[in-house]
Amino acid sequence: MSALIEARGLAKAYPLARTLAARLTRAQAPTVRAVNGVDLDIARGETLGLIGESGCGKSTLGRLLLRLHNPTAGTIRFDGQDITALSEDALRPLRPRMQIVFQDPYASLNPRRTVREIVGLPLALHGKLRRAEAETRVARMLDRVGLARAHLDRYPHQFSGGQRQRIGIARALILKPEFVVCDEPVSALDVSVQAQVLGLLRDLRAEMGLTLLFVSHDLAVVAHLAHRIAVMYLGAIVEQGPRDAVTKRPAHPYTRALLAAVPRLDQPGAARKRHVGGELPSPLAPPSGCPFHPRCPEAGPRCAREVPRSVPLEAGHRAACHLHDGGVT
Amino acid sequence: MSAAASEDRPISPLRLGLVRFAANRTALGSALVILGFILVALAAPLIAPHHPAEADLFRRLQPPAWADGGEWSFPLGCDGLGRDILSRLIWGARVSLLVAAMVIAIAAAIGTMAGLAAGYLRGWTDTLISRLVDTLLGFPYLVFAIGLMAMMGPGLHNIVLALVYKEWVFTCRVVRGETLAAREQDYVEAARAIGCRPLRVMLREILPNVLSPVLVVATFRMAYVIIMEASLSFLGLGVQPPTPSWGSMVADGRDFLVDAWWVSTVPGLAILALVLSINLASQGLRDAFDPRLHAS
Amino acid sequence: MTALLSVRGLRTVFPTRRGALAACDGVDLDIDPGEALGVVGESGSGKSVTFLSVLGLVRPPGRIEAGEITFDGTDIRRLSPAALRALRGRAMALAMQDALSALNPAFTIGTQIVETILTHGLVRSRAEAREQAVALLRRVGIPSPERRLDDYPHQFSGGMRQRAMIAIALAGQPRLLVADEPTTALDVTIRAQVLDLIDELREENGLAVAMITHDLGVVAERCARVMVMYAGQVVETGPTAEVIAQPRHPYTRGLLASLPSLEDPDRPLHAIPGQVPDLARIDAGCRFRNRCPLALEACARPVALRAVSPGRASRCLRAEEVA
Repeated sequence: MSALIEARGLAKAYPLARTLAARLTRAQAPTVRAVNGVDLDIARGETLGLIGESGCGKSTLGRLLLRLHNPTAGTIRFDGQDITALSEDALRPLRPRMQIVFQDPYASLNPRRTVREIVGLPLALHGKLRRAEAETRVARMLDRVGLARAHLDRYPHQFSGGQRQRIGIARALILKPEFVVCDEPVSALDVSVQAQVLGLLRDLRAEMGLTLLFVSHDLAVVAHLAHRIAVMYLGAIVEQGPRDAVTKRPAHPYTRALLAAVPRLDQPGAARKRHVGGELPSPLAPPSGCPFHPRCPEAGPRCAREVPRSVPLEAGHRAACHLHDGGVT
Repeated sequence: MSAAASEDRPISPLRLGLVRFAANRTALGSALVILGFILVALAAPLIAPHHPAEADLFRRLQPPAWADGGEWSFPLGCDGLGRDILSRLIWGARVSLLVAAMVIAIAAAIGTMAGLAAGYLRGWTDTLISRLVDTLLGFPYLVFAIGLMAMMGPGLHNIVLALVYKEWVFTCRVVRGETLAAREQDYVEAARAIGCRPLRVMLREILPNVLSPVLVVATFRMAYVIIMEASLSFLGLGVQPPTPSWGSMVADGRDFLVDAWWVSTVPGLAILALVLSINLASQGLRDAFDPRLHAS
Repeated sequence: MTALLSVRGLRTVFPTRRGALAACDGVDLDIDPGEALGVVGESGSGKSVTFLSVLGLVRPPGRIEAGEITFDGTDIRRLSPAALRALRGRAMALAMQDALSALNPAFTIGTQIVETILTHGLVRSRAEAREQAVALLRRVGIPSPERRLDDYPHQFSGGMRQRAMIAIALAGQPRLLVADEPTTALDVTIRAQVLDLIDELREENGLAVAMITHDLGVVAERCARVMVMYAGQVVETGPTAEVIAQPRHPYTRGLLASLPSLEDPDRPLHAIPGQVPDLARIDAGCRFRNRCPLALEACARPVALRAVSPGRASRCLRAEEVA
């Protein structure tokens, strides 16, 4: 069965402003490569967890797949159809099939619109339903996410963070999309509320047979929901595979560093592990060769010279590291 | 903070702002004063004791009622042609308020549309509009208006036009700034993700959120426009006699500033009172509606 | 060993339109020299306000209504504002969550450290102060410290800024460091580095640390003792390992059950139903009872924090039945 989402060589580069002198001499504009040559597949019904730290490009990647940003290179196929270069008008009929849930519950809802208008907007644009029918569907959707009919006429500022996130989820799902990008949907919520929203997502996923791209920096949250995990660093996917393979048998040094840095509840007062040092390099000046090599405890001479390619390890598990591709020398 | 959801009735941000405004006594008082001026202007035919153009040379430069030689039937005295200053003041309020309201309304409408387009569509639209804004801003306001009036001739409609020419620019700048900020918000991206066309995004999603600053700028600029109109009338370029305008009334008293100070001073004080109230009220509006001060 | 910081019955109140809000209500705590106490709670739990009160940083109209705060034997509530200011930064220091807004963007990092050192009269000359500042930056792991001393906060990355803030906090050679969510805004790998740094400093200088966070995992790894707060009250305290293995308050247990675990990702999460109560509209009874699976009628009356075993306390009538 072909994947629902297929990306090949996907890239997004932002050119930076050049000085007048640079423009006159037609010098190459320095670019920030937010996403740098990503290949990924998401099968129908699957949840792919996308993990990485800030600035790795995971949010940009999610938006690229929805064509909210335009890629500067590569292709995207949605349900077999190439959507890379489609115009806005051509994309419009596809929009109901792919949606997004945002991170910030305080910025993702229009403060001047009621819940009814916010959740009803997708229906108004695409549904072609009569008003009464639309209203019923909105009410039912609210009910499904755990809010009451009385909330229909209220404004976002009258709700807590968790409730606003539910409203955002209702809006994303009201047209029954096939694919939903969840961009850090619980990161801004209190811990006890996180569990509520995660439970809601889980239930809705099962009920509606959703395919999800779950973007987060929180490994534990991702592991809870994802079937497969992809790890991003500086715009590239350094490792991807089934959840257990990636979390229990990480192949890439960065993945190992991430896992080691996650605090664990079951080993209180654990002896301090050796944590990877250094900082995330500036995307303006990415390291040569493997983007992780300056911080990598296993790096060798080859790592600075050659960009590692993605090598298959076990079933469906790949890593972009010279360690698995002939060594680092 | 994660507080329990409000169990109250739906409270729109507009209502919240109005409640805050009403709680600010200075602002509320100023708003009432402005309302007073408006009512006086509307009721001019009913409450003005005399006809504003009725001249009586025997009453030329008659002092106000409390001074020597004054009468209570002409409470604020008479001008150089013996016309009752109070009545002219009341009728003059109409001109000042009407011009200000028309200019601000038209300028706000044009400025908002232009600002939205420039801020949301960016690219050539933005470049064009921004250059236009910068150019117009480069002209000194009064000189520009005088020039236009000289070309078009005097009259109420022409004043409005002359002032709108530059006034829309202020609203446009504010709206463009707010739009630039708003378009980065997630809820705008959500609208795009749902498939809203740009026009719809601008009008449905962004416009309601930039209206508060527009309101604040509009009321704040209103004071300025009143002074501009008064200045133009003072220079003889505004509404023509015998229609009274506060500005022209001040001009009328120029020659008698020492002997008959009331002819210029009374309309001058009226301008002061109105402008001050408008400024205080608009400050109150800004405090009440500014989202940065009252993050929920 | 006498506690370095001892708080009894702290109550800090903020007047709001809906009535007085006790952001922290009846808080007792002890921190020994060189100890790391984890203070865990979600938004509205009062964890930050508690320590802001201790440091004397609560701004009017909020005020401390009741309580005793003893630092190193001194009753600091009786100190004059000037004396408290001298104590703050010198003996007690604060490292906040968002270094970008905590650091003054208009001054270089060097200026801010040097000013702190000079203010507390620790050296005789500006040159000496600068030397100490360089040493501090080096100690917190900022490379090329002499050069970076003259950089502005926005020129530092997030992790470096946080380290710089810790350097400023340490400039006065404090005995207690209050770290309020110091790593929440940081990436996981950087977070680990900064937490390692705090651990090292604690061991080297005998620094006591109050680690305020919502992340139980951080507390589990770094803090020997933990204090759990909910809706302005302390609901449970004890050695971290014991509290996590056997919680004695339904909120703690609920919190632990709702956390996804990397080790056991398929474990179903049990969310705590309901929401945190509105602090302006609470009554005297247990504040957790409307969300608690063990609630009784008796919970509608005030519940005191009581010892349930040596070193462990809980504010629950049924503490023994919780785990």
